[in-house]
Amino acid sequence: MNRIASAAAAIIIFASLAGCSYLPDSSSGAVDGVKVDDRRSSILITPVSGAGSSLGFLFVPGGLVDPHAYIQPLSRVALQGPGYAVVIVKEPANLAVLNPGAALSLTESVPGVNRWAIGGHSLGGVIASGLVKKNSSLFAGLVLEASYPQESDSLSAMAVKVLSVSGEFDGLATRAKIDATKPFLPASTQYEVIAGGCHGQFGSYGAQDGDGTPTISRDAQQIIAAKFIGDFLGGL
Amino acid sequence: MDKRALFVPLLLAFFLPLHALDFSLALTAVPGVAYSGVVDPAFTGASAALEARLPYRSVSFRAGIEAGVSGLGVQLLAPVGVDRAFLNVGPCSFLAFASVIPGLAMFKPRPLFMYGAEFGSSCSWYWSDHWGLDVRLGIRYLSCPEYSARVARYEVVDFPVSAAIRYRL
Repeated sequence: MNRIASAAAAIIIFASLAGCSYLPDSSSGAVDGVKVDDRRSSILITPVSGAGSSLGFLFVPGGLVDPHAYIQPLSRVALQGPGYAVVIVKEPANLAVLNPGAALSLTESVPGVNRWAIGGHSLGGVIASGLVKKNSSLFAGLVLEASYPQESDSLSAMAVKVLSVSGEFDGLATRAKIDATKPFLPASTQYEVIAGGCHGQFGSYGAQDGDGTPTISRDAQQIIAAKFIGDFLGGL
Repeated sequence: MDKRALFVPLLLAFFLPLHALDFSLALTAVPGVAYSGVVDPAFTGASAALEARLPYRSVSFRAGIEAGVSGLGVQLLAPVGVDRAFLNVGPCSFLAFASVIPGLAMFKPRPLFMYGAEFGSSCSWYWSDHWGLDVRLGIRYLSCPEYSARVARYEVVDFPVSAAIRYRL
């Protein structure tokens, strides 16, 4: 019995170590001009002056990244154009693959929003692509940050508008991987590469294992990304 | 909370299993009721736990290790406590328990200390001399002070519901 107990304890500890999430930087809070409603299942960011658009933006965080690490970059998105309601999805164990449909339940929760775009960073973008594939009528647009869809979730034949934003020195979602998955996205997809950017700087959680070395600051990368996303949302 | 206060439960957590007479492997579902100071009912997560119990007079000391998913991602807890039977009906025992819960929120670049407490009741039923089942209901408070200071307030009140298989020597 002691051997079984020891093995079970080892499995429990190993599972915990394997599931470590990236902790947001202490300087990762919202920028001025937005209010943040942090709930158990989501984080809602809206401009203090109110969201002027009836289009909301759902965002699926990257795998094993604390969702609060996206408050800062998505605050900047919320302030673009007329102002947008942005909802960051909280996932069990910070892994969207464990509950890919979590985002769908949040589309009813924001007053004044009657259309949605969805996006995600890294693994979150993969999940967002799958949600668009399975719920094509629900989303007006898809934003991929340092991400690409799986072949099984190919959107190539769909009419959905897609924005793909990546960093020049991304060591994980590399240019080669993004180029190789272009056949799985509509021909009209807008591709943007942030010069000097990397994978981890789309969020605010420090350096990521396997990532490249950026030559621009995190703030600069996030400001550029927010401008791309704001312009894209404005065209939906 | 003074972290030195955790020395005694951690010591118990280490030594008690060496002398334990009763082990359990539990799966827990965690419906939550409050999050960061506001009522926010939602399913919080789930966990798996290994626990050892050492009967002593009319009570049992218990210590274990529990890994689970929660609003903080993955957390590793080491609940230590005591229980006491208040009703025995045939092979079933109804117990009340209380635990203190030191633990770690598993983050990179380093885990964050967390703590909490749990109170509740459980029902144990042994179908043989060695094997039994355990169903447990509790109310649990957990806090992660450093996360609260650095990222966002994290204090939760949950109602964990567990089912366990027990083995006693």
